[in-house]
Amino acid sequence: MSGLSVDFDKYLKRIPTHSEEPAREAATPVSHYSRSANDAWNLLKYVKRNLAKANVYDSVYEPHMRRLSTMVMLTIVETFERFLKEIAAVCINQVGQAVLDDRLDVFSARGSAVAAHFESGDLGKALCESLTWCDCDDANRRFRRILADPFQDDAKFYIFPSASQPPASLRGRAESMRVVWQLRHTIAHNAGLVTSADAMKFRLLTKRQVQSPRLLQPTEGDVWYVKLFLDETVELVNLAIAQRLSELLTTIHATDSTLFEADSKAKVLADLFGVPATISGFTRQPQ
Amino acid sequence: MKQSTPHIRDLPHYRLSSSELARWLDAQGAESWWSVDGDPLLMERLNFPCRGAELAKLLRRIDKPLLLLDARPQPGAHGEMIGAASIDDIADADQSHDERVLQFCWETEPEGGWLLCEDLESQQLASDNDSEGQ
Repeated sequence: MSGLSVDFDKYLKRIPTHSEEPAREAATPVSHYSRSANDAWNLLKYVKRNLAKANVYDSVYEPHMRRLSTMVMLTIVETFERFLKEIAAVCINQVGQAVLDDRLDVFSARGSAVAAHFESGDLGKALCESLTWCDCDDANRRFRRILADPFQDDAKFYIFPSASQPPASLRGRAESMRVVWQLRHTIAHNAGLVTSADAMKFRLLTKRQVQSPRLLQPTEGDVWYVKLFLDETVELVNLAIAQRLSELLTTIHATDSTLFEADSKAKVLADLFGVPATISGFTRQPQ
Repeated sequence: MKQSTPHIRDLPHYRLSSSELARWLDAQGAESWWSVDGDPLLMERLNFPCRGAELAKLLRRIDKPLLLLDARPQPGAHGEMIGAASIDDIADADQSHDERVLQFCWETEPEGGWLLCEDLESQQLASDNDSEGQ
C-alpha cells in the first residue's frame, strides 16, 4: 500500500476525458492505419535516437527498449485490427441497404452497440466495432459474406486465402498472419509471457520449438518485420476489397440503377479506399 | 522539464521546394531508408520507414515549398531559397556522421513541424534481407 489517500473514483473516471479529436485521415481506413502505425514506429525510433545522445544505464536501457519494442509491436498489430474493422464497416455501409438478402446476419450485434451508433446512422460501425477481428477464419467468413453477390452464397473472396483460394493477390499471407495474431495474444493477454498454451500454438504455427514460460523480448528488427508485413498486407487488402466492392456494386447497379448513381458512388469509393474505383463503367480517382 | 522550441519560421531557416528535397533524397542512394515523424500529409500516404526513392516520388507529386531549420551551431540561414546541393551541410549539423535528422515545416502551414530521419538500422536490415535472399 502506498499510504496515500487517493480519490481513485474521481481520478480514474476522468481518464476517458483526456483525449483529442481523431486526425482527419481517420475517415479513410488505409490512411488511418498508415498514420497510426507510423506514429507507433516513430515512438520507438524517437526514444532510441534521443537516448543515444544521453547517458544511459546500460543495465536497464536494453530491457526498457525491448519492453518498448513489445508495446510498439502490439500497437501496430492493434492498428491493423482496427483497419479490418473500419474497412468492413465501409463495405457494410455501401452494400447493407442495397440488398435484401441475409448477408448481415453473419454479424451478431448487441443492442448496446447498435444503440451507441443509432444517432450517427453508421450501420457498419454498429455491427463491426465491438467484434474482435484477430482471427483469420473469422475475418474470412465475415468478408466473404459481406462481399457476396446478391442472394448468392459467400463470395469467392478470402481476405486471408490459402494457396488455392482467391484472390491470388492476397495468397501466401495467412500463415504469417496467424503468427502475428498469436504474438498479439501473448503480449495483450499475458503481458508478453509465453505460456505453455502459447508455446504450443507457436510450435504449431512456426514449426519450431518454442519454450515456456518465457518473456517475449522482440528486437527492433522484429518490430520492423511485423510492420513491413502489415503495411504490405494493408495495401493489398485495401486494393483487393476496393476492387471486389466495386464489382459487387456494379452487379447491384445492373439490377436496379435507381439505387444509386454509379458515377458518384465510384467517387465515394475512390475517396474511402484512396485508390481509383470503377462502377458500371464510371472510373473516379481519389481526392 | 521539456522546453518547447519556437516554430521553424522564427528560427534560422532556408526555403526549398519539396521537389528539391526529393532530388537530395535520390542523391543519397537507392539503398537509403527514411522515416517522417510528425507530418500528417506524408504519414497518411506512405508507410515508414521506406526507401528514399519512394518518399522522393511523393514529395515530387506534392511539390510545395518547405522551410528547413538550420540547426548548425553557427547557423547562416536567413530564409534564402536553396537547392538540393546545399542540404548536405545542414543535414549533418552536428558532424557526428550518425543518422541524419532534418527538421522541416510546410511554408503554407501556420503550425507544426516534422522530422525527416535517416534510418540506418532499417537500411542494414533491408540489406541483410536482400543478401539472404540471393
